[in-house]
Amino acid sequence: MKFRLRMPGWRKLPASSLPTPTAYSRTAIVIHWLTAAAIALVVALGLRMTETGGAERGRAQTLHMSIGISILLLTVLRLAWRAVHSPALSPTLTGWQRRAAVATHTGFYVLLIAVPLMGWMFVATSSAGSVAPLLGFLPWPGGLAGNRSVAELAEGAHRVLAYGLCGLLLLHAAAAIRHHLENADSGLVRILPGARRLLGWQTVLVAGGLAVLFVIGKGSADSVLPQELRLVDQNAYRQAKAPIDPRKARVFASLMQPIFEEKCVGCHGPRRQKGGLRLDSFAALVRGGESGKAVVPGKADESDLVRRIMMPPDHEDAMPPSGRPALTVAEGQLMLWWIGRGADESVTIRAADPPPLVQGILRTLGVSSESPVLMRKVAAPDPQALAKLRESFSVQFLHSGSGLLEVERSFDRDPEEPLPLEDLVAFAEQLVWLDLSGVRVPAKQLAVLARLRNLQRLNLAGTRATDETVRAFRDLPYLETLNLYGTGVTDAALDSIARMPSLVSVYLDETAVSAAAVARFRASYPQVQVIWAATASVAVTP
Amino acid sequence: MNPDERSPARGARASRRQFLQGTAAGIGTLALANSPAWAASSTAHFVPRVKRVIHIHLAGAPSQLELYDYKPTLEKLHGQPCPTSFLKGKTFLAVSPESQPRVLGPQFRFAQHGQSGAWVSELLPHFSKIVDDVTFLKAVKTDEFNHGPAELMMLCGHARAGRPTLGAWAVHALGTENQNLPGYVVLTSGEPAGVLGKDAYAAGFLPSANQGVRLRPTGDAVLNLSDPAGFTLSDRHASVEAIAKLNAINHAAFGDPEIQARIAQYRLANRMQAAVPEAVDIKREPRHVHDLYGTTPDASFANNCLLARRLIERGVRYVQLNDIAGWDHHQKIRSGLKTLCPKIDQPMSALVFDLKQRGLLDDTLVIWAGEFGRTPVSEGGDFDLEAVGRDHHSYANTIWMAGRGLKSGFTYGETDELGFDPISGAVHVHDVHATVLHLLGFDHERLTYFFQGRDYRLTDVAGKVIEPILG
Repeated sequence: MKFRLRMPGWRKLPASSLPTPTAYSRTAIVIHWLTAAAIALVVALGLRMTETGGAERGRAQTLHMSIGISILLLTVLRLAWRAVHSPALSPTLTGWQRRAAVATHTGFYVLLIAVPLMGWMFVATSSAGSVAPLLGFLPWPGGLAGNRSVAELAEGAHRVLAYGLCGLLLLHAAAAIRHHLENADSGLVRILPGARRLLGWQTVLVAGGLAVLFVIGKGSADSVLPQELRLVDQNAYRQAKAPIDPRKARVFASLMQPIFEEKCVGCHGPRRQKGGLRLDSFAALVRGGESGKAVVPGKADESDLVRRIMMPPDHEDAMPPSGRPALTVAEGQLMLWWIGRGADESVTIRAADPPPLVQGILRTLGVSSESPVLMRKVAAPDPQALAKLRESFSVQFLHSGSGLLEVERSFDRDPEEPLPLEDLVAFAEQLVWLDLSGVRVPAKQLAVLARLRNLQRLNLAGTRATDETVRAFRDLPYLETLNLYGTGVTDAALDSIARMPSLVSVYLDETAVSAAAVARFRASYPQVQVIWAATASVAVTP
Repeated sequence: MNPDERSPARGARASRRQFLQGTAAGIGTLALANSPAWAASSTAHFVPRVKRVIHIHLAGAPSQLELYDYKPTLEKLHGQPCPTSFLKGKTFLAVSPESQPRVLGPQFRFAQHGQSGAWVSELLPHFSKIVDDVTFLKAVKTDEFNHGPAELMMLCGHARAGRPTLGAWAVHALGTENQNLPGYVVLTSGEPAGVLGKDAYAAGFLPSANQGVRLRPTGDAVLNLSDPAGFTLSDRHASVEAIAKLNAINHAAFGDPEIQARIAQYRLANRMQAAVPEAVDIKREPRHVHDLYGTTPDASFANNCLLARRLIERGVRYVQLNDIAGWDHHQKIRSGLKTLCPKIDQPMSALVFDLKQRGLLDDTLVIWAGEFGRTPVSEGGDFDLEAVGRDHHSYANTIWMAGRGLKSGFTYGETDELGFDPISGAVHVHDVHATVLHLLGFDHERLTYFFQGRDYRLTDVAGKVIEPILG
């Protein structure tokens, strides 16, 4: 029995007299259906993400991103394939249909590239900035953290374009079905060989498969996914990879937003706005909801948000509502503190001057004013190699249990004695503090220190360091303190010093650096503290 | 741990070895301080902010009300009987609350200095220039109102003798960096000993190796360190090595590890014979450095400040400058401070300045403290401004510190309008100690030493890190 769907207003076209077009090539068919499956899953995961929180949300995000990037790559591949093979449109299409088909396909290609790109840009510029490895293992570039305006723009574009893509998909499916109903040699047959009948087993299988993928993605990702994918927790990844630097990190973006995102945004975000309240941006938080302002800056105890999060969980006004994970005591304290001190969006953790109670909480969150290079866990070097190094240097671990090393000149050695500085390179991973003050090795030999890429403090006071030596250090990524007291460096060294990415303080007293150059440098780079005095004196002028 | 090391150095059961360790400036002490075991690896609990300390201890307690804690109201009420509400329940040494003591206004003019706008008295014109590198604690309390106990409190965290000082704890925890110099050096100016004598740098129950080694201000810095005339350093080396051979034979026969320790001590003392004279010879410093510190031909606090920098540069862990110059101004506070302040102002300011320029303030903490404050009221019946002074005041004092890990140009704590009691930011001496250990990388609650059946701490059962001053 041939089943024919009839819709009012549909016009039956005469059967084509042209020869039956060949089906798409196997490659085209595979890419087409792979893309379709991926889109079904990625859309479902995208919707899921906005509804849930915590670790599950993190997992959904990682998978969503992984598949999204796969679609991007697949589309690029497909375009390349097309460029070579250029499949023809179904010859049964009429002129306007042909134009519509071309427009739809062009739209598809644009969106299949734009949507993943926007999503990627959003993640790369959001507060964390780091992009979790795809599928939990494949590293993917990110690292434009803290670019709020770009992040918001990208997120908006991602969402709008994604909905556009869904719309286009429906149009595409409808057109394919309609074309099929009107013409047995339709595109549907070409892309799904054997689907002569619309409800033939192939069609049902494909449609069913896509539906199952969608349900899996949207519903119970955790229960269906393989174990290794379930272990990918984007939030855990963020915490481990990006310690929060209180000098730069903002209280709202680094401490408040993660709480909102995990505990609140599922119901007060882009997807749902219960009570007319959104908590997914600072502006939305300030705006409040149907019951008025959520936050009264400076008055935590008058803020509705605080009232609700502090309530017993079974109270009907309590937030998050019973059954949902409540805020932890520490999260509540952080929020009380932030609102109590003015609910300021831009204040950094350091500038907010956290009281001891909050400082205790911050420590547990890995917030540390220490340089990220000091927060790494590194394996201690081989004891035998270390013992050998101790023959020439004084070597200490930074603290017990740390693999990080502090190396100093040995007081037992004559400063003029040759020193095997190249031996230090083997410890570049662990070596963060190096004090060679007073060591008189030739300047050329000091250049090897530029290979100690994890140096945070470097003391070369009283050494033979020259402008060339300093030039070699200009790209040391973590160098915060550079002591050149009593060396022969000149104004030229300041050009290199200006380029040092993490520099906080530089000691230039008793060198050939001129007062004018120091003044210029201080004006251009106020973030670097130059320790240099015009007169070596605290004398009182009479 | 050798059980011997847990018992006090003094006392009836002291062994010959302990006797040698206990000899303040004896070679035994010096050598033990350099036990190679220290060099092994760090025991710090977390990343340290500083590695070394210069502790300026002003015995006798200079008046915070004449130097740092500016009180305009005190000036206004000058000469009037002190409101009794301020005196109620307080204990002073000489002043009795019933005697209706009179308010004594600040005896010197104050002005604000630096970007931080810190108030400093005209007595400290040099110090006024470095206030932005300094962190003030203006409401430091102590438990004791007389010098001996209060000095012990400030130095050891306990008001009775027998406990290790902060310096001994620091060296015990961190060891020394330079194997040729003691880890804990004490330099005195003014009187040689003061009220505390050697208790001011005692190791208490810690191994005696952690005791401070006092360098003498004149003559040989360490007694008996110079060889007799006609006897060269290489002669000494030869004799030390000959003794080492004999000791090694002895060790082969008896296997006592103490013999090996002795061999090591003699060798180290021999190395110090060269290192100490070089370290303490401030004549090697250029002219402009002498001018900076205002050094003097004779022993002085200024010379000690310069010496302190030289020792810090050479890896000495803890340098304690005990200025026992007579800061206890019960009478004649005006003339007393006018005489003493110029002796410390330039050197202590130069020390902070010089450490900063050389990058040494990056890993060195400077502490400046007397043992307590002085009363806002005058002591004694007559109110003759040239004769009056201030009594001991344990309820609030100002101290300052400088070094990495602290908010510089920052003041924490405030006293009431007359300077009697803290109204905010009150801290105890225990809190200061907890903070110093924190800056050195130690949790004061975990840095313990087992003695007489229990674990001891520098802060005993008190102390809290002063988080607001940490940078």
